[in-house]
Amino acid sequence: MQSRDASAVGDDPQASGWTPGLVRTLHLDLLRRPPFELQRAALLAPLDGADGAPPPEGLASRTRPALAASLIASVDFWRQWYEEQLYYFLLVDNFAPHADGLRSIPDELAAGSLHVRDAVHRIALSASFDQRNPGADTFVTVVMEQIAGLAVEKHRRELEIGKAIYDGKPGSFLGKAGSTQSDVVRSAIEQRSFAESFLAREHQRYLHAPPDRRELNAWAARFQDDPRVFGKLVQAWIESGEYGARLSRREPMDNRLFVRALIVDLCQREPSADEFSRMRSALDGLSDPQPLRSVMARLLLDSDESSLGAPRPGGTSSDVVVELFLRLLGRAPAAHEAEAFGAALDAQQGSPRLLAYALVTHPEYQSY
Amino acid sequence: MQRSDDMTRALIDRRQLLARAASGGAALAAASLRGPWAAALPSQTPGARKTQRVVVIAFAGGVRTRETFGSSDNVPNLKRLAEQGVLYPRMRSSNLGHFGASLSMFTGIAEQRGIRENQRGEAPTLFEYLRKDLELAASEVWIATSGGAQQTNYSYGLHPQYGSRYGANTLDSDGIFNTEFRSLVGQWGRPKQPSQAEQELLAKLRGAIQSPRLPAAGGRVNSPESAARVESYILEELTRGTAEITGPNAADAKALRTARNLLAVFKPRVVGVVLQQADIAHGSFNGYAEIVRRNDAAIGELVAAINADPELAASTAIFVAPEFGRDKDLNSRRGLDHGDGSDDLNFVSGLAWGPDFRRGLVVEEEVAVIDVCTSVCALLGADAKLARGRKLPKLLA
Repeated sequence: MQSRDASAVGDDPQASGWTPGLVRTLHLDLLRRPPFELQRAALLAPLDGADGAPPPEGLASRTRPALAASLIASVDFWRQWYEEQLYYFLLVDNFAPHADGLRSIPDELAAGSLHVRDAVHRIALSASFDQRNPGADTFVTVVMEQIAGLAVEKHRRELEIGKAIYDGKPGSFLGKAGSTQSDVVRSAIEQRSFAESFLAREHQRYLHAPPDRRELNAWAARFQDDPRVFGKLVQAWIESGEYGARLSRREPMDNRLFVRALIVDLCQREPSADEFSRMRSALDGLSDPQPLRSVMARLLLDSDESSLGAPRPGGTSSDVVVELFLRLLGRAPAAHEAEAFGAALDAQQGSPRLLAYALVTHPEYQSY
Repeated sequence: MQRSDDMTRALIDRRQLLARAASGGAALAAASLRGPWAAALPSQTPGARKTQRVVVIAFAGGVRTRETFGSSDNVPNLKRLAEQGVLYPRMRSSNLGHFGASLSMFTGIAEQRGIRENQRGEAPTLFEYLRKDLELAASEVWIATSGGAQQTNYSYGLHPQYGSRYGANTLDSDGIFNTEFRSLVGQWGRPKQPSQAEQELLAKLRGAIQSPRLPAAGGRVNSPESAARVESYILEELTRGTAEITGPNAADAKALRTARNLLAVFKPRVVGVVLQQADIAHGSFNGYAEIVRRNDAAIGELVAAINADPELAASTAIFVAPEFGRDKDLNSRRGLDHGDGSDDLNFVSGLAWGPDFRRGLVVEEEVAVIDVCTSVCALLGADAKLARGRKLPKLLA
């Protein structure tokens, strides 16, 4: 069987700047899922021979910045941003918020009618946050640690003041007057240390590396002036040389990302909220989730859910193998990979199930 | 307090004795023949002790002595264990948040951790000390938890000489063994076991994949063989009754049930159990007391299962301690917080029960929750070299 030359579609993200690997990685970093087949096909269609074709709809050009801008502008980006905040505060499962005022946050962020600092503020004022952090000591400690980014053991006095305000006594917490539980949150979120710790966390998430201290200071100053700058910061991070360096290495998938990637790749749909929650909770309950990840992959591939379980009508073995590699790994197979997988496909009477299982349980699939 | 029933159950039969002696386990077999609660061996070096496995129960979520050993009837099973073992009623704890305080029991180091911090500590855990020093496989060392993702961080720390390769297998029982996940799995169907030919083909395919720039294999606790056993165990456990457990302490009860099943299936050297639901106390004192009572009953079931298995009964020690207590007085919601700095918060009651321990002893001197790490490691012959606790005094018979 013949394999497509890997360099033709490219798995070197620094080569042309527009490759299946880049498209997959950017989707995983910004939307926390791979592209759907139709999206991937549309984004990469010009590379299949139509040189000089116009960029896909919605893109200014076939470049990393243009694709990033398109993804960051989507509601999907903000939905995932919101989900990651909930996870950071461990507002999941029994503590997952269901109030309309919270569920509308992604839409409001995408529309520009809300900024991220107010979104975090709204999350911290929710009943879910209160239930997750019951009692004055726990609540104020979490607000100081997770919102204000302060080490409580170094600010014992502030903790005691915050606890008194939580219980309704007036006081000055973190330099701001207050007398309610809500005031405790407001004081913390207005701290510059919130901006710094929030941006450091987000930088780590998108670039998989801690920020430079001086740059962080500058970003925090801009963020304090206007939190709406956050989307532009993410765009700049993705355009940076540091992100280029990130593209030259692979990062392990966390369980949340694995669940979303697996369902999208195998079933060509997003997981339902309940499905996602159950799968994530189960995987998060293991210090080594690998065995359960394999179980999930096998179950999905054996089920009717997967679009990869049945033999493909038409197409050569070569086409099927190349398609599998592009879809699941974001790269074409090397010659020896194409040969081995082609032979296996023939041995399996054309069913790609075992091939897909080999790929999705491999460390390459579970990193990006 | 008598242990005659336990002794009777623990006596191994002649065939077991011969089999063990033939396989080089003569010392253990001889010890078992004398019964689990016969007088301790003269030597108390780890190799000569009867204790071959340890269950460490973090009775966590913040539990005061007043609701355990200070109450007349909340914890009959813990009292029975204490009567048959050693009780430490003045065990110093540190209010480091539930996560940090429970972690300190496993690391032997009390250091502040963020309450919701979902990250590993720097120090090694007792699981790492044991796996490294005793060369234990991952399937020999487990933790069953009830508090979700954060508690998988108890498995191992980030110390460069230890870390994931010596970590414990952690199972958050409520996260995995629940009816919703089971029904989700059921909806997809039962996985088909691959044929031998498929397995060989799979190995070939995996071997053919040449991946550029793979990240370091951090976080891998299991070898492929161990992972296969864990995979099989999870599928089996999903069909047992653990997922069906309900009630206000369901997550804690599942953790204890999981520990019980792990002991039966893997006969591991160490099982940690981390409970959490007593923290309902912030909003309800009565609810908290009920959790304490139910968790005591679940511990009773675990102990009964150990005693019903002659091998386990003869060789298993149990440590139980809360990570810290709770405030002295009720809050405005008629609940109990944890932050007043009182003795009710800072001192808890812990116990140790096992074939090598003294019986019916109450040690009044002050000890610490972090002493559990050092004591467990020493008992099994490992060196918790970075831990700051000491061996629990007057423990060994």
